[in-house]
Amino acid sequence: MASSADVRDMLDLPDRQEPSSRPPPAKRTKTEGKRFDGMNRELQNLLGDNTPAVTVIENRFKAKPNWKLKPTPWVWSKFKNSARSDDLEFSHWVRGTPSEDDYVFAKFNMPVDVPTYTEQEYEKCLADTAWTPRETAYLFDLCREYDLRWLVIQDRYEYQPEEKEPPSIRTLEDLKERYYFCCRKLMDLRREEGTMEWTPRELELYNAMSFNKDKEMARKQYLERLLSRSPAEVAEEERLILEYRKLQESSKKLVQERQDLLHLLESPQTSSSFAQFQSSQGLSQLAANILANDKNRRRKAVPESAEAAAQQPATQKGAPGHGSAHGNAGGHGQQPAHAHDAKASSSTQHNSPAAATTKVSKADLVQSATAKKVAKRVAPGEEHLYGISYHDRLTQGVFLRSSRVSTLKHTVQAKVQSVLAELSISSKLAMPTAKVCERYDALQQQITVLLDAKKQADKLEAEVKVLRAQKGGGQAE
Amino acid sequence: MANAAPQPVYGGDEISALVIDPGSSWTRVGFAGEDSPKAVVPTFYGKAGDDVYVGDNELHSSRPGMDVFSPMSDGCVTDWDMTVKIWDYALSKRLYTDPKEHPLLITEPSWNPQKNREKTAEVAFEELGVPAFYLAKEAVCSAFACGKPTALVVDIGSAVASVTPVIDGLVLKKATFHTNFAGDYVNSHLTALFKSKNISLTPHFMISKKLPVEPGQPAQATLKTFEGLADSYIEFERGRILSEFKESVSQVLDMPYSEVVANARPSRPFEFPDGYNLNFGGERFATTEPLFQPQQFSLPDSSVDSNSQGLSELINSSISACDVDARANLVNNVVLIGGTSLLTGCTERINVEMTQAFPGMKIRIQAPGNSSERKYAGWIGGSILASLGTFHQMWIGKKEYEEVGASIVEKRCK
Ligand SMILES: Nc1ncnc2c1ncn2[C@@H]1O[C@H](COP(=O)(O)OP(=O)(O)O)[C@@H](O)[C@H]1O
Repeated sequence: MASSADVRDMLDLPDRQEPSSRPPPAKRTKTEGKRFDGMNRELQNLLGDNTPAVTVIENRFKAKPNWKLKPTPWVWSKFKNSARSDDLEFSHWVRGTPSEDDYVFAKFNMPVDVPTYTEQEYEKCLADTAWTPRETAYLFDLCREYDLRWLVIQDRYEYQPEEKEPPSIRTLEDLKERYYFCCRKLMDLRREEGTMEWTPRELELYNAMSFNKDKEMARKQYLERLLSRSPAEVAEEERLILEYRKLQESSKKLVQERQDLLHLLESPQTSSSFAQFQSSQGLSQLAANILANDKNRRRKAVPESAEAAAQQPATQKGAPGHGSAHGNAGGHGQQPAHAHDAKASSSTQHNSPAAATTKVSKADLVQSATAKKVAKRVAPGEEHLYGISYHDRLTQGVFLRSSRVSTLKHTVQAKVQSVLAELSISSKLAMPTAKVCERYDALQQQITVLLDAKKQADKLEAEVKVLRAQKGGGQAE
Repeated sequence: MANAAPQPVYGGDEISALVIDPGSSWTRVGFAGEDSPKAVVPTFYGKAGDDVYVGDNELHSSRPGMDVFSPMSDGCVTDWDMTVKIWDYALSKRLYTDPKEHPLLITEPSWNPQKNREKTAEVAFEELGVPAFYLAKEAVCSAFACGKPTALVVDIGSAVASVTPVIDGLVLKKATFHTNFAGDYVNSHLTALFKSKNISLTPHFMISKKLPVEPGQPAQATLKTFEGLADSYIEFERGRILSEFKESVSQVLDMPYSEVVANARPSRPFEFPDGYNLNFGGERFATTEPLFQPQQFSLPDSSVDSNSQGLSELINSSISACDVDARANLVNNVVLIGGTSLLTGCTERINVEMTQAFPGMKIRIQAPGNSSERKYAGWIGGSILASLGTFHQMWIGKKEYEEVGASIVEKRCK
């Protein structure tokens, strides 16, 4: 008792009451009385006096046997099998009285339907120089015996030709051809004679039995070649498939690129009237939208040019303005963002005659709307005179305008520069006024578009050439 | 019909048939429907004068002048009188049953000649007096034992190694190949190896006392002396040592054979009955390699010629002899059975060789993991077959046999 008290002490359990004060037998009977079926004693104890909401009763024991029922004896009884041609009897154990019914497994005895024919029928339509009636009969017997398992039929085909007959070496295709030919002929004949009904099923059967030996042999030849590839060939094939996948991938990419480019060249459609943007509220909402779109696009472009982004995280974070779009323009997917970005900034900054271009984008809407508002106070053309310009956002501090001339991607920049050189325009602006900068930007932009278009045109041309060559080659063959 | 037995789903219907699977080294006998043979008796008989001895106990007791023979050759029964004695012994002394009351299913190799098949029926009906009889192909039964109606059955037993394509439960005879490069052939290579190492294979029964010795040291054993023991009996007893060696030491190299690789593998010790023991290295692999390359590893006095095919060639020939349409299916359902296939590395090796031979096909080898299923696959398949409800129409009845004669076997047992 002492040790138990120690344990309780150690486990910080309350001291047990004096054994005499507790009525253990009473408690036990209490739980006993409430015992639920199929419940652990431990669980039951946990529940205490509470009645569980749901009781799970599982039958752990078999139902009480019904003693009154007479046992059904198993008897060793003989049975006949209707699938047998003789009346041999076997014995098996049966429960209760043996049934008089047919043997349960007899119904699985299903012979395949191989047609039979009479001598006259053979004379009439089955005669063939390569086959004697005897050999044909032999074939039909084998078909019946082996349930049309052709591989086995061919394996067991051992026709002993009579003396006059030529020795026959039959391939599997020969056998199949002969058999199906005969079957179809017989069906034809019987239809003509009206001894056989032509249900759709029969027609289907008839069609299914058309056997093209040459095709079948060609197929087997192909199969054989396929199966007898050497390990090197298999490896080569796998490599080719991989290559093909790669090509497919890149051609998909090419199509995507082209689409992007076409998208760029295409004039976007104005889908709805811009009346809603005429109020200042609508206008600011639109501006916000555009900004959001812009950001979204840039964010999407990041995974594509993950490397580029990683190299210039500072630009990315530091300059959320339009300048950074050029900085991390990674793939071609960025292109539309480019143009859009440039246009949006140019049109909001200046009330330029950009509206004269055929492109009517949302940015243009902003611009024209702004223009309208301004027109109320200042006559058109006067802003320039007065040096009025509109900005959606102004950067703090003083800066040189020439430092704001947008820079392009390095590779593109070089090409643009060479074009500029061709046009004998210096890349260093002598007088970077707002207007000059703007025009310079526009020019650069246009050159980029031009270069892109040329690249695309070259690509297409090359493709056309390849296809022409292929077509020419095809014709020559 | 309240008390009709429920329709069994598995299609079994036991009619208490007996199944005998006579192999070159062991004859397996038991009741159909059971999962292993009740009795496995050696397919050998001892003969001393006019007395014939069968069964483990009689065969292994040393009698002066008793010769031990096998009643089979090339996997087929040749000595019918003795075979009947062995079967009779197994049925009456081991199973305690009377074959007159039970249908009997016997397995046979696929290349069993017609005369032999008819003789089997004759023996069954006239000497054993069975009411019904069926002769099933070992390969088909083995495929069934692995649950496959279509399979390429590779059976490496003691006297014969065979490759048999089975399609829908029927053997393709023209594509069946067999050789005698199997367990016994490995035995003769082992014997040659021991001879070259001057190891006297003293069988267990001759040892009365032995002392432990260091590896490679001469044995210190006291031998019992016997008089007039026949050489064939001693050879038979030595076979037990060889079997033991094969089971514990021999291995098949799991890649195309190379002596360098074989020698680099860890060696294993083996203690002979007289206490002599030795570590075996590359020899473990070199002595089983003849299964795959009989020509390169031929013995001076063996029957190897330039046409002799190893196991992988046998498989290739068999597959090539089948129609193209069947090949992929067969290669994908290879069933590997037989006692010698239990050699470690055998399955892997066959897989490697087949992958090389058929690179374009998917190869799957099914080898029962359980060693008794491997050795008794033929019997187990027979047991399954003889207890199928749908099979009972196939039995040859006594009356049919009497009416048609023994030739009914050819017609019924395809
Ligand atoms: N674990 C084992 N490892 C290697 N060989 C074995 C093993 N077990 C049995 N054997 C060999 O297998 C052969 C017997 O195989 P089995 O399939 O019973 O032959 P059979 O069907 O011809 O009687 C014998 O040669 C025996 O030595």
